[in-house]
Parts: sequence; structure tokens; C-alpha cells
Amino acid sequence: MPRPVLSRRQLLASAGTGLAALAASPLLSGCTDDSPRPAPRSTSATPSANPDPAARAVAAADEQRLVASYEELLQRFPALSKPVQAVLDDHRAHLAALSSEASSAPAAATPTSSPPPTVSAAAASPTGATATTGTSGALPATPTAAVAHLVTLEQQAAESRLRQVPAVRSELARTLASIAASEATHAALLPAVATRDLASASASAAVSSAAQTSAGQDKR
Amino acid sequence: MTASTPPVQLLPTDVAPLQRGLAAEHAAIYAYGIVGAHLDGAEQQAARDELAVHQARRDAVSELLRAARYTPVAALPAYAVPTPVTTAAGARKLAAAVEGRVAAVWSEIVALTSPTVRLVAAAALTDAALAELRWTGQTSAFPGGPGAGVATASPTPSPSR
Repeated sequence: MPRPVLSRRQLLASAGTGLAALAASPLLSGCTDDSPRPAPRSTSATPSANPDPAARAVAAADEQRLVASYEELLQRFPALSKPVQAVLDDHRAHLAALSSEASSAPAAATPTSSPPPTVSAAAASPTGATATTGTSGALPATPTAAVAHLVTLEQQAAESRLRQVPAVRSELARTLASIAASEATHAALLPAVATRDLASASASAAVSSAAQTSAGQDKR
Repeated sequence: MTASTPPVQLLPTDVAPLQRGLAAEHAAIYAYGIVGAHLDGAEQQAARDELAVHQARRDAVSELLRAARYTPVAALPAYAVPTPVTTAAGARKLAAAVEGRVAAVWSEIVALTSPTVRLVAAAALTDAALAELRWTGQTSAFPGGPGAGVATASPTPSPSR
């Protein structure tokens, strides 16, 4: 399996050259100057403005978009169902966690259960998250290009979650960091499995058409 | 990255969590010595790559601590391994367990540290999740997190085969 693409190299490079480099990276650019001095624990954070609900809404909107994209991908390219279903389940679990923590309930990580409440939560969120794409028609036409598009979406989502990590309270920070890690693994996994599954799908299609051809020849 | 970058400011409360992360990296580095010895070919190279990731993290975290005038925790001479490794399958299993453990440690650290240090921990968490994927072939919705034990993908051992 090829070395995963995504943020690993960037992050590793940052870590490898020390925090100075990380602080200079775009990851932190939003909070170097204007953000308040870090509070090490949620309990000592200023009680006035809780940044979590807005952050959750933004993250949930991204997850919603990913879920919609994967559902469309599944519909259009059933050959990809196995890997894509697992990834889709991850995103539904992300959505569930983001909305269940919003109501301060413990995050029940039962992936395939019920996405509906999270959908409404994301839709009802007041924050203008960057809702760019609709739920359909956004995917490229070929399966390979569609998967590549989703890899990009995963990478962008992972980076967005990481950008949120410094500014939220501690437990949400952990959840967002974990979601970012999950999305990084999706971006790493998808190209390989997609290539494999598409290859085997077209191979079996070729075999069956060859079988049909020879069957037809036998009849003749 | 010379004089222009601002100095890193560790809060005193960041130190203990970072030391814990560093200790986890030491343990992982030790374990990969065992893992690599029981693999060959591409898998041994993979073990070498992952070992390098942990070594880089160890060095970066150590440097962070030293820059703030703290002494990084040292590696122990040896670490207990859950079950003795005698086969390649056992080596893969150990590697996956180690990465899961490292992910869990850094995930906790995200919740315990100040914003700048959180990003260090989050990066380490992502790397551990990627390594875990390499050894298990599965992704998880919450690597290192409370729901980390919930595997959502169907079991497909060894992604590279």
C-alpha cells in the first residue's frame, strides 16, 4: 500500500522541524495573533463565549456534505459499495457524535444507526458553514475521478477539523482531532480500494462478456 | 524557520501530557524493533517507515520539551509485549495494537493541552491512525477516541495484498 498522501507529510514535516514551523504553518495562522491565551483545560476557559456550538455546526455541515457525496457515489457506482459503505458509516458516526455532543449527551458511536437527527441538526445550525455543493450532481462522471474528488473532500475536511482544534473546548477538540484522523485514513484508503474494486469489477465484466461470447459461439 | 518564527510557549500544564506522549513513542519504537524482525520484504520496509515516523515524533516532542527547559523522559531499557511475537501475523498484530495505543494516548493529550500543543497531539493521532490502517486495513470513525474500538469496516487483513 502506498504511503498515504494527505496531511501526514505536512504534519510530520511540521513536527519534525519543531513547533516553530507548526506555528508558522497555515494551521495556526488563525490563532497566532488574535486568539486569547490558551486555556489548558475546559474548566478554566472563559465562560462567556462558548465556541463549541458554532464549531460543531461547521463540522456537521461538512460531514453532511460528505455523507451526501458518498451516497451519490454508491448510487452511481455500486462496484465500490464495500469500501465506500464502511467510509460512509464512519461519516454517519461523526455526524451522530457532533450532534449528540451538542445536546451534551455521550457520543454513542453506533455508526449505521440513525442519521436523521443529525441531518436536522446540521440543517438547523445557525452558522453559515461553507455549504458549497449540493447533494447531487457534484461528482465527476467517471468512478476514478469521483473517488479522487472524494479524496480531496476528505483531505479538506480533515484540515478544516484540525484548524478547529485549538479554538474549542477540550472534549470537542479531542472529537474533532479524532474525526480528522479518521478522514485522513479515508483519504489514504480510498484510492487503493477503489482501484482494486473497479479493476475486479471490470475484470469480472470482461470475463462474463467473454463467457457470453463463447457461450454464443458454442451454440452456433 | 530561523529568527522570524515566534517561540513556542508550553504551559506548565502541557508538560505532563507531552511526557506521556513521549513515553508512548518510546514504547512504540521499542515494539517496532520486534515487529521488523518478524517481517520481510515490503512489510519490513513498512515497519521501517512507521518506525521512522515514531522516531521523528520522539525527536520533535523531546525538542519541544527541551526548548522550554524541561527534561524529556528517557526510554526504558525494555517494554512488556502483550504476547510474544513469533510469526509475521503476530508482528502485524503487535504493530496494530501499538498504533492503537499510541492513538489513544495522543487523543487524550488533545483534551489536556493548550491549543498549540493540541495540534502536535492531533498530528500524532493522525499518524497513528494512518499506521493502524496500514496494519489492519480498516478505518475507524474515531481513532484513539472513546468510540475507537468500534471498527466499521469489514475485516480485510493486510491491505497491501
